[in-house]
Amino acid sequence: MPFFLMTGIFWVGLGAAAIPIVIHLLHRQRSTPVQWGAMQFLLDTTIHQRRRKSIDHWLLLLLRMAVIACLALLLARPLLPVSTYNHFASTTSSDIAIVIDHSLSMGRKSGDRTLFEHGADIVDHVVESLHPSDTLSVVLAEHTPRPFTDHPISNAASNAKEKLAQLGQSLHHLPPGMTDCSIADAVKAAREQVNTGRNVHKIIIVLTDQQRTNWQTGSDGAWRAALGDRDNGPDRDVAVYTIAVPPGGIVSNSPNVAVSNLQVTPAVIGINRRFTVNARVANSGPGDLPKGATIQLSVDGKFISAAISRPLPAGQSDNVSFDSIISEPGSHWLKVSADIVDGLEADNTAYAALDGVNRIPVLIIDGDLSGIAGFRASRFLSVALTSVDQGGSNPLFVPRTLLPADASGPELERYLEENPVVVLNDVPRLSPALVARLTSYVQAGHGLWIILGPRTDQANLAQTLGKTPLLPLSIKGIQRTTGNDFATVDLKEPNHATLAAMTANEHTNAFTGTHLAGWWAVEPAIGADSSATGLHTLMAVNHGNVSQPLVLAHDVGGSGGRVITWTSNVDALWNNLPVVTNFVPLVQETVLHLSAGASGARARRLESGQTLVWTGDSATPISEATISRPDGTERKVQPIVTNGKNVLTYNDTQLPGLYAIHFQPPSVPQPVYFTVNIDKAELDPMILSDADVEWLKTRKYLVDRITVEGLDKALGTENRGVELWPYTAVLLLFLLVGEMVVALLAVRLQEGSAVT
Amino acid sequence: MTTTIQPASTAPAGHTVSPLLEPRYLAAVSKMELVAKQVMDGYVQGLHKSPHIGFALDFAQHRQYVPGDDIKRIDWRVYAKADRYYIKQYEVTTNLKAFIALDASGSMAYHGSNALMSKFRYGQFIAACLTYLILHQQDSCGLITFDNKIRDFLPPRSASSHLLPITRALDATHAGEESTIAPQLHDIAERIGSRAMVIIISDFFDNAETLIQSLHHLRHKRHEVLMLQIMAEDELTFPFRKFSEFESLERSGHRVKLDPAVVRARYLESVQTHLKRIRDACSDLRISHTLMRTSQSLDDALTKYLATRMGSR
Repeated sequence: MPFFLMTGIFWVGLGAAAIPIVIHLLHRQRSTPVQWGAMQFLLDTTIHQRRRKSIDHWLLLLLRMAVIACLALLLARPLLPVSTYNHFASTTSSDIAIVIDHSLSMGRKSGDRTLFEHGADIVDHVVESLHPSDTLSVVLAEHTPRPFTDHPISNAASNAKEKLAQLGQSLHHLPPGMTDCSIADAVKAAREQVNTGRNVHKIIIVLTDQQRTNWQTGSDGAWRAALGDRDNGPDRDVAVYTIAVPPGGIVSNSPNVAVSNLQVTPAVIGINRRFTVNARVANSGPGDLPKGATIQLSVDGKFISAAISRPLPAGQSDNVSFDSIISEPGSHWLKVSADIVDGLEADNTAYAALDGVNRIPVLIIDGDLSGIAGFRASRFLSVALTSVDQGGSNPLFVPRTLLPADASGPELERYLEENPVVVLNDVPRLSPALVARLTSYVQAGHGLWIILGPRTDQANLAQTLGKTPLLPLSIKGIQRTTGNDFATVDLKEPNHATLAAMTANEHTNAFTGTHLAGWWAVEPAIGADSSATGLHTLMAVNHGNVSQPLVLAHDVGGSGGRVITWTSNVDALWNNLPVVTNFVPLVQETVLHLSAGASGARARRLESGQTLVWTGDSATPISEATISRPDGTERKVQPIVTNGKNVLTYNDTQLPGLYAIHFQPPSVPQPVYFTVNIDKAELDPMILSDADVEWLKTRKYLVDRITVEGLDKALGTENRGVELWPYTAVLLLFLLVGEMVVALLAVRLQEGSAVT
Repeated sequence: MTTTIQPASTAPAGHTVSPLLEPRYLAAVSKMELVAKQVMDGYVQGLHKSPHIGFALDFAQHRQYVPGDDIKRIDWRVYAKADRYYIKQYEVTTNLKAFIALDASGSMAYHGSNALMSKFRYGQFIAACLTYLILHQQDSCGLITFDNKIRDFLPPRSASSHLLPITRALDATHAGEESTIAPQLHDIAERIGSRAMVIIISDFFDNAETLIQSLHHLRHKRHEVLMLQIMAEDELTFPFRKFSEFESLERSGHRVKLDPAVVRARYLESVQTHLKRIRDACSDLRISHTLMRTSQSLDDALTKYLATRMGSR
């Protein structure tokens, strides 16, 4: 390329420089003829003016042509190539933006440093390679891209050195990222940064561990939004490169322990009642963990206990359990963490929020209308519920027994509001209104225990409960044994929440010795698919070769509503359950299981990015709520009142860890804890394949995947010349000023007064 | 008093009246007098001072006083009787011999955008009116037309019938040739003879110095010179704005293209200098100089001129 960077616009502009001449010629041709007598005075004047006129007019003409030519040159942005004798400068200028992956996976270590720190080293290398008029911007690729520089840092600025040094230090001291990221969104943010620079060349360099999930390969929409039309868009010349971090691949022999899948049972924890925490501990390698990992449990920030997993070779996992109690009602949180320095520290910890409850009221609707027995069957239930065998001083459950008529009266709404669980204990007839109300009650997330017995009216049951999702069963009739022939109990799901506490030690022998003389034979109702209803048998009655359901469970609605159905009663008429050893824990765990759906405890354990929703009683107006985030920052949120409830929602839950809500006024029960665990997608080991890179390159979203050694070439350090447009602009300015001055002088000369 | 102009009565039968004898113009000047300011060598009595002193002549007549007359000549006796002012006319005065020299060069053909007529036409009317006036006051008047040479030379006559040949000569004259005023004035100075009033009607577009020399010549010959310089408004203000091609009215094919805005200041300065030079020279030579613009109404211009002249006598 010769002297100038010739573009079409330059030639057009240069042609436009002839416009003043054309105007001049056209102007000249249009002279007005005048028959004149005083030629002698005119000739005198023209003699004197001829030279000056020529000079002024030609000078103006030349100036104007020069202005237009200069403008054309300016727009063409010519370059002066370097030569031995060129003393202007020796390099071209670029606006450079670095996108550095700040997702969770960049916290992995290679050697003794994280991948992010390796990326920061590459940024230092780029800083050293900057040329005098280059600019540099940095964008952190996070769930939402975060510009790390407010404005591009110009290497030509007087304080450029200090700013770039500060940039490097800040990057090296940045804590590891904890969220996922979108490379396309980060490139878009980087494009916006480079477009604020004034250089012609725009370069974006993406430093990443090449984790495939973050690249959105295959999504033209995401990349077109990031870079625009790569054929005709205004930013089609923005060059994007990627460098794998760390260069040369991850070097590590360390194991990597991840704690996940926390499960807390029971879901609703009574104060001073034992609960169990189970955690999965896995070693994803590459190193082995021959001595296992020390796993610690802390509740509400206090260390409780530690356990050691079994030895974990690479690729192996183990389950670790802890038992603990909560002594205060309200919202609590626990943390299970591996005490180890491994390849990725972010997945060493898992969190869970839980609620401790002081009392669980239970409404028992008893069908005993005789008044003679005095709720005999329910008394067994009440005694079982109020047992304090957990070592607590106060029973967790507060049962209340009512007749169906009393429960259906004007107080029904209050009863349902106050009690998270309702027990229908062998009720012969249920009114349609009560059934309808119970249906909506369960669908709202509450629990219902249906106990069938001698008083149960099969026909009424089929016409009421049988037509609702509460009882998707077909009642076939009463089964009885005769004489000393009794049926036994078989556990079908010993690990179910209602049975796990009993079967943990005794396993299938938990109900050995249970005899049944009568029960209702049931089977799934016609048209009710058990897979659709979720109906499953927890315990069965075995008589001879026949096994029929004794305890069934299923969920109703999407709000955590649960139903447990017993096909035999609890008043010792048809069976000896009340005297069986595990009767009390069975009854308590059944009620606990039924009450857990409405507790919302599960709703406090969120996935990364899941909306945080808190509801509370609107009796106390809440003026403000403050959410403390895992990174130590706080956000103010305003709850709204909906359907008589205070509702608070919060969407920014990308960061894993503990979220605590504090309310104003302080009289509102607080704090309320929510926990978020890491996005499992960030542990996906799949990286960008060659096919993925090819997809990106074909669509011009990526120029190439390069190495650090190829960085210099990408940055255009080859000598390409210096742009002359600043000098051209200055020349243009002088020409314009000169044209103005000459024109002004010419106008002044033309002024004169008439002869009087 | 109403003066009736009957130019037709002076024309022989069968001849049309010259358009130069515009009645309103003649009416304007008819009340005026064109009186010489220096002594004339008249051979008959007239309005003008005779160089001959002590020549005892009889009272000739009374004439009604008009503003501007010398009050010494008022006959108070007549006033006492008639309660009106009359002046005495004596036979000691002599008549005026006047020559009207009209420049017929090409530059006089310029019309101008705001002018009533061309400079030459304007001059023709002035010549005709002055001729009428002079003959009316029973002085003798002659006509000289010139451009690059003397075209017509009509000797002065006092007969009123002399108006016709003069006006005819004026009508027949057209402006067009190149102008060289100074040589023609020299020629006129030699040809006129005894003292006379020379009324030069021209734009005086000539070299100022040569022109002044010719005026010197006329004054040396003891002629009273009246210069009526006629110019168009355009020539005085140069109002042109557009790029123009100026073509000479005197020299065919002589053109110059220029941007008027560029030359205006210098042009006006040249004109100003030329006029001043002429005025100064006229002042030194005691030549009456008056600048007339063709944009000005002729009757107003003449009336004003003659009144001024009469008032300064």
